[in-house]
Amino acid sequence: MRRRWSRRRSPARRPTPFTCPNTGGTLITAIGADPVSLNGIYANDGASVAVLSYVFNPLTLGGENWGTQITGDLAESWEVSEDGLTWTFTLHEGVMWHDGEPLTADDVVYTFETIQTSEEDIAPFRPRFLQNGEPIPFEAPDDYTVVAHLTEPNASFFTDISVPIVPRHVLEGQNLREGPFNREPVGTGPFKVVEWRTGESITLEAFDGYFRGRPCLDRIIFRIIPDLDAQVNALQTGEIDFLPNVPGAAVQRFQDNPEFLLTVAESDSLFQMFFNLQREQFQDARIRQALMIAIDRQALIDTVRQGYGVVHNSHFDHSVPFYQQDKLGGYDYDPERAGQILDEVGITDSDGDGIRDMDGEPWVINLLTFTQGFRDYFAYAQVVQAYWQDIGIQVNLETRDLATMVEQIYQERVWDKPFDVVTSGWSQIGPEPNSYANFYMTTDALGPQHPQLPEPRSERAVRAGARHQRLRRAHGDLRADRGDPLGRTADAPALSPDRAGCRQQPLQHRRRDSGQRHWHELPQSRARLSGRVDLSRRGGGAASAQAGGCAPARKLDPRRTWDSFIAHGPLPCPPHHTDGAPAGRHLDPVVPHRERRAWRPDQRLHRPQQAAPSAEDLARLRARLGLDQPLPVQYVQWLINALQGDLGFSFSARRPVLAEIGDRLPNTLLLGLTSLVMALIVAVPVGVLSAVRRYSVLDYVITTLSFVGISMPGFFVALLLMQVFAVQWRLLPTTGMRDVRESYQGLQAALDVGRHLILPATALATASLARWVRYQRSSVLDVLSQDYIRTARAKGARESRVLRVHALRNALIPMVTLVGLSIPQLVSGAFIIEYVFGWPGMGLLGVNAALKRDFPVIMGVTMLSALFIVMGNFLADVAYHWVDPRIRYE
Amino acid sequence: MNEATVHIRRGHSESLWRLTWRQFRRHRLALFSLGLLIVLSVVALFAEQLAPYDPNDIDPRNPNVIRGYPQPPDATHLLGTDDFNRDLLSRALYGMRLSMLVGVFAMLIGVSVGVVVGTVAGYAGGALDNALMRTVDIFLSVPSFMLFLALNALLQPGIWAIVLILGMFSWMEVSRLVRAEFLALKERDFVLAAHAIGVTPRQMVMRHLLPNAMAPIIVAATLAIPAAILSESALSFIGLGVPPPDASLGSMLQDAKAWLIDAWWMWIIPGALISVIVLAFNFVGDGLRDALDPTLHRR
Repeated sequence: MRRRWSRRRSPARRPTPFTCPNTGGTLITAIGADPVSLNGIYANDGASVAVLSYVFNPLTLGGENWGTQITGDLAESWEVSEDGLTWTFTLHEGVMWHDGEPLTADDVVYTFETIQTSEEDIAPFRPRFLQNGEPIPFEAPDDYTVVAHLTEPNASFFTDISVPIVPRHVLEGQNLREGPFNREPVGTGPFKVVEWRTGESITLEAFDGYFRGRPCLDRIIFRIIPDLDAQVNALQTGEIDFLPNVPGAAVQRFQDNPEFLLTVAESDSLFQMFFNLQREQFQDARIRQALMIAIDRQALIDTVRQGYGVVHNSHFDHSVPFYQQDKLGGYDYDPERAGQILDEVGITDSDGDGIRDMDGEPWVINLLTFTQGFRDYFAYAQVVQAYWQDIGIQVNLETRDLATMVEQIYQERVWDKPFDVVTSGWSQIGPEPNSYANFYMTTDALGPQHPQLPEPRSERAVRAGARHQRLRRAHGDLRADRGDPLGRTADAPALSPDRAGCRQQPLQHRRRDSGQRHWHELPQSRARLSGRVDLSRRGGGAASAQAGGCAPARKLDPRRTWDSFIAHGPLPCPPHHTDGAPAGRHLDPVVPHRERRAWRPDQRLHRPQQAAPSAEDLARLRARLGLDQPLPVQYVQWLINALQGDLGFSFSARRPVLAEIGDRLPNTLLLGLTSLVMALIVAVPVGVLSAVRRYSVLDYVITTLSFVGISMPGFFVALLLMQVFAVQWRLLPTTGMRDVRESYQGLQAALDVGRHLILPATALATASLARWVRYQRSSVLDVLSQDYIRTARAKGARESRVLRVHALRNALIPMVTLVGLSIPQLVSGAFIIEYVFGWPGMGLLGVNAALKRDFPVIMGVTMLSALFIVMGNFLADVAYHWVDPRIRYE
Repeated sequence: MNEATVHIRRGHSESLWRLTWRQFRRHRLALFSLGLLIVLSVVALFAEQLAPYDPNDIDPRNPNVIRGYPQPPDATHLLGTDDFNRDLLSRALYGMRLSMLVGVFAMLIGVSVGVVVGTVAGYAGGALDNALMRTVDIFLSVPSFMLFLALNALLQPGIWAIVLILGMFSWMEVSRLVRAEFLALKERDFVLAAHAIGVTPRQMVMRHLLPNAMAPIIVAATLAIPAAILSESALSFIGLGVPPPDASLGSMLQDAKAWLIDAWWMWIIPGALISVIVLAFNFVGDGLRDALDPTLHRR
């Protein structure tokens, strides 16, 4: 039987040639972290996917990370045999690799077989290419045909193979884990990677031989800016051109600004609550339903995301073909009903303390969420807590950092996990319903989903993999039974029009062809939003009540949103799929990504169930990384390697630790030394002055200023500096190390780095500067009260000479100690300053490693910092001798 | 012999503390800061009574507010609200209490551990001293943020975990200080004399050595409080500070980060409070240093 959407396409259609109205130009955008790898066959984190979707093409679109439309990409047409077991794909002809070689079916087979036979590193995608544990055989009868032989029909096969195709002639013989391909990939996409500066930027250049025609833009540059607010600042100052996800708090800044285009559109990021169904208290569906209707989800979206979001009633994303928002009502806010339900099931306030009791004990729910870094999840949890407290439930909020969360909730293979309710979310799962299966599987203990919930009907359907008709029916069941989706985010991408290379680009944009899609209403049109903002400024009462919740929402056709986006101004040229065929997600700012928020996880939290690494894979991986050895053995092994100059291999970045450190150490040293010198240059004379003019007005001013310097939180000084000097006055750049628009050489390059250095170095110097002034002052005072100073004065030496010759040198000795003590900080880096200013240094490396439990990096950074402590002490000793020749060492 | 000493120094019959206080009073800024700290502490202590609203009341249910946007100060909310429509005055009061609490308890832990380690190392000397000082070096050599993160994963996150973490990473300097003081004191004649008359080690430490090392300890303790308050704000910045929904001054600043331009009232007050508190503790520490330093008394 033929699958509904697997009909044979009409005879090979050449892509319609596309003419760019304008060509050339550079588009600069931002991502939150370095990609883990640009090797498409295993990269699966937001930053990597954001970049490599311009560099590679999969055979088919619609799988996880690859768009919201199920269709072919490198595959021009495909055919499924009657029994559903043989799939034949025909490739586009004339597809070139970036190095000029032609793409053949051989490359496709090589990619799939590499994934199937690969070591554990590629395990994330591997299970998709297995059936009943056996690899699916692929073959290439000719250069443009790929055939797959399944053992049983699989409805999701088409999207399962949605994995970027990599070139055999480049990769063969390379070590997949460490090979240069991870950083210098060769793909078939419209852009090729030309430069990757770790922690700074990745530059893509147009590929002239792209099979759908050369893209209109010359260059796309991804700046790496970890802090979301800093990304916004960079957009505002014009350092970047495009931001796919402007947080609601910052929208006002771009809204009525003629320099910017702002569009509000739906994303495919869902956020959700998970009840732990192992807990007895949640096994009664009525209790879960009561908890759901106790929450005003629209108010939650308004509060957390300034209204940029949609109440979502499904576990599936809206791109799933049978998703029907309109038909899925229910769970409207009704606190009274919620209270009644709880009363009915016997959870009542029996002792009159205002808290409901279960079996005589106060009913306490532990609501687990991510730490503050995940701003949204963290905020949702707080609002949910407020609503539940309203109906008399005691809620304890617990927070966990990413790594702990992953360890305890997402990876641990146990049924009962340490939470009652957890707020979380996901994005970019795509339109294939089967990909969502793992969130609702009742038989897999991976992830926070609902293990062992007795719901045979929906589960069977999801499990079976399969038929969409059955899934569609199950869809309703799922929602009714689980009832825990909270909503979907809408994002506000902003674009600075002047900078984009092509203008008036008539982007041919086609959403899914399925007529079944019902676009539901976005809560706010742009008009209403601006009304809101005005009201908020006035702080109106009744009028804002109207704006706040019940203004009639206008039905927005996304195409119209998109059109108005174009009509109002220029747009980055579509780099991809210029024939009007499927817009991949990368093209589609309508579908931006949660990952681009600050502190986004670098690993996906929700892996499709079929993508979960098997226990054997994990065991092999452990063995390979040496994690199966006892700790002392691991340590000795590490020590032996370290002594030979091998610091190991970073788990998360898939690079040698030495390379990771080597890329960042110079930056950190530059920043640290500059701030050290700055602090010294100011602290010594000011401290001396303050001591010499003791108790004068000047002394008081200096004293007060230095105390103020000590008493400000470092991150806040940094934020204010950036706000004033970079955003308001535009004197200096906000973030980064270099101006990526220009490629300076020689002196100019140095000056450019210098300009970027001023703010972070000042912020870093502030605290130590203030402290050192204090030390210098008291040390000079100390010296000035010594007898030899009195003698010098008695001899009639001029005061300036007394100071310069007799006092200063002696007064510098304690400073030497201080400087020596601060040398280790030069290498360990200043995490907060680096984070705020997007400075690619050791502090970011170390903290991110700690957050991801990347032990080799942690060990490397720690060892380096210890080394520098010894070195600092040594340098201090040498300097003592230089300052004071009386000090000698034997 | 003690009697005789007292008689000879009749002119100085005041206790050390009175003497210190007299000196301290001269440092006007320190005196003023002390007064300010007392006032702020009292205010913080009575935060519950003084706060006009529940500080964690998110209140998205109130139809009269524009949800998700901070409100500027007005008659109902004297300091405005944050983006969750929480009353900032109430949050600032509670936040101040939490910050000061964290500062004081972290100081207590840090100073206690530091004094014990420093005492043992300084008094015992030899191999034990060496071992303890190398431990200090190890603690100093690991980047503190990474240690925070490691400990944070081990402990159940909460206020006490933060207190413990901050305390555990502030004892090294105190211990070095105490040890140095002990090493110097051990060479002094009165200690030799005490040895000669057979004072037990316990008495030696408690009666002779520790009281004489008190001055730098007190100063260090005073300065450890603002350091802990600042560290807590840094932890809040990476999301490992006081857990939600409770406020600390640091977490309020972090909340204001996204609204720096559009809602100045969100950061002015916590920013000012944190600076004033830290500043005041620093001034008091400065005053105490002067007051407790015998070489300055004579002048």
